[in-house]
Amino acid sequence: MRAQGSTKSTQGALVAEHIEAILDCMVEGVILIDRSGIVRRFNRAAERLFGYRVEEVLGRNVSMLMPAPWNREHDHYLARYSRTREGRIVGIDREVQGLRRDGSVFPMQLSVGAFDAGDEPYFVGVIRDLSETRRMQAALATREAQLRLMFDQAPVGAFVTDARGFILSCNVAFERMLGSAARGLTGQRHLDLVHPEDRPGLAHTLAALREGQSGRMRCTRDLRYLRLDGSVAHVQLHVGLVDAVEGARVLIGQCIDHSAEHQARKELAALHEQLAHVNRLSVMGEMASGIAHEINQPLTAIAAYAQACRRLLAGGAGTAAATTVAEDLSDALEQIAQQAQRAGEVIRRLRGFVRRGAASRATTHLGEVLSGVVKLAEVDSRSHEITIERDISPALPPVLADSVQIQQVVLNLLRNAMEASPAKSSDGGDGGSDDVACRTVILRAEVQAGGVRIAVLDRGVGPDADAAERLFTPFFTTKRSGMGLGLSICQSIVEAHGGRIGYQPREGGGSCFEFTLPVAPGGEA
Amino acid sequence: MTEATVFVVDDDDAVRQAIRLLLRSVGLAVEVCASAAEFLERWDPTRPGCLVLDIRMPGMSGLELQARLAREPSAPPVVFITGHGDVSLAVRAMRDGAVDFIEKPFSDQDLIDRVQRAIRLDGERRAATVRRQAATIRFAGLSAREREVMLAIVAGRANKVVAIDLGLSERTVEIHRARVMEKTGARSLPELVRLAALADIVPADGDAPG
Repeated sequence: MRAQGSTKSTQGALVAEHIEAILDCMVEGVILIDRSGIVRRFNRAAERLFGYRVEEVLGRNVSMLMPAPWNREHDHYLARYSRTREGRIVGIDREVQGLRRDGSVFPMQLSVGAFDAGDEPYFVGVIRDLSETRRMQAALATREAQLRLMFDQAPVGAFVTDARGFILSCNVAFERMLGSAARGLTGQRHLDLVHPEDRPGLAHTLAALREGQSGRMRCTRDLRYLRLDGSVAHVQLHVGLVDAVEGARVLIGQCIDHSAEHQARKELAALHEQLAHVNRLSVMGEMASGIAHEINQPLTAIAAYAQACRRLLAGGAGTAAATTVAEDLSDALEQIAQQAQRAGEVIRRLRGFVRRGAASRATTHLGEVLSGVVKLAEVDSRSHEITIERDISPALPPVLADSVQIQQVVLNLLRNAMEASPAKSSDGGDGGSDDVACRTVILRAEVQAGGVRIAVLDRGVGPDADAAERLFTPFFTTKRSGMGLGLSICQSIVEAHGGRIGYQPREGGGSCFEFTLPVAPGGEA
Repeated sequence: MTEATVFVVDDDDAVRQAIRLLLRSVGLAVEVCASAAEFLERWDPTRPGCLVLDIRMPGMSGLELQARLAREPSAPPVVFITGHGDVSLAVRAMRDGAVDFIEKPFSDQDLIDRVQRAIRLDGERRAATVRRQAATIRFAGLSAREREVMLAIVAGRANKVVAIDLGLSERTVEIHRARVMEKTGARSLPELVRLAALADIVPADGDAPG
């Protein structure tokens, strides 16, 4: 502090001192120049910013603080301003560059004010260093770019929608998944991309999520998107609600594309289907002689009835009364019709069994399905002289099943059981009750918790422990002829139905093969 | 003589009934059984006829029934009806004495012909049985000594030889021989030999002297 004489000058000196102090305390650099660009003031902050001491700058042209090309232009700017009083910079914040004493350049924000003292115009520049801000911005931009890269390069499709479900942003994987890189998804309604059949379900889920009914902010569901080319993408979608900045809620979705897996599963299922069909055909082939017999029986009856009719009409019997003949004829014709039906029924059953086509599951009543398959199996059991005993609970709940495939499983098990049954004792006797019991195969169907249990029991020797372990392995067989695919196919059919198949030794000797089928939805007894 | 009856044994109701009607249409008496066991229960050996038998049946099969009947003295002739692919079984049945087999489906005339032949065969067998029984009865009245003499002369030995063999006088042999002829009603030695063969006393192909 310097002491001053008069009160007025003391006052003036005090003000000047204050201003000096304020200038030196400012964080911003302050530079005062005259109309020629000569530096008249240079505060401490400016010293720090430019690396000059004040005495090195005072009285020199301010252009020394500017890198090329601005340093050359500055005098023109000043001249133009003096002439026109129109500033391109005065009163406006600008971002320019400064030149330090050491020759380095730095970004700075410059606000320029102009004023007149006496008749002379002066300009004051206030400078803020932007180096740090720029560094932070660059870091943020890098980070943003990295995140964007991660978002785009992620193998899962990801998108963000606003509260109304319009897509704000999505990544490359999502676009690629929908085959729509070219059309751009931003701004589209997310729900419009979803397969029409899956829209109501998803809308419902999202509404519940938004209302927070379930108390959860995230959920996962499987759904289908429609690609641009009309094909279907199968995905697992994870969605989450996020409170973004300023309270706006956004929805973040991530989807894993299961289409390839779905396709592979479909192809596998088709293969299984074909294999099962081949198995049915081969089973029918093995049963050919029995089938021929089944059809031959009604044909024999038809032929005999028809020939009898002809003889009756020719009056062969001679002595019979006309009414008796008429009755016999009528009975015979009725029988012919019935036997033709019977043969047709056999063929229908076979055709139904070997028909080719996609497995179609429907709510199925096992009682009818099992009776049908017993009739098929009896084609074999007659020639093996084996009795099939049905122990089918009348209270079976309906199951969701492909009836042909279930018949195939049961027929495979019944035929195995018949083959395993001990040979008929050859003493030519009337067959003791033990013999009959040994040559009876039981088909049992009963209710169990959540489903139906179907078992096929025989009194054969059964597999040894080693074979029992490998029964369901493809190409494993204990038979002299046979591919070893029957049980493996049974297993894949049963498991595709959500059931399980297994083997256990039967109490008292023999085998018990059993499988389960779950109750059809809504069919719980 | 009682009318011949065709027994039809088949587990298939339609086939059974159809065969019944067919055979009835040519005036044959028919009875049907659904199983071998049912037939055995109802079978009366004295009733003439034949058996139409399905080769494959649950329980006792047709072959087993045939084997069982073969032990009976008056087994009926069997016509087997066989299904597809049972020819080997049919061959075995024929070896075991079945008279015929016919494959399903069959023509009416084939079945009727076979059935009628079987009935005829049964008739012949029964007639032979009757003749054998009659002959046996004729020999039944002979005393032990007369039987000894009869066997010797049927074997073709002269009275003199028989007398030496049996330690009798030739005169005694002659008396016994006359008694044999009288009791059996044979008017000549050849007739006696034929009767003895019929009654299974000597082999039918025995070379009796003229």
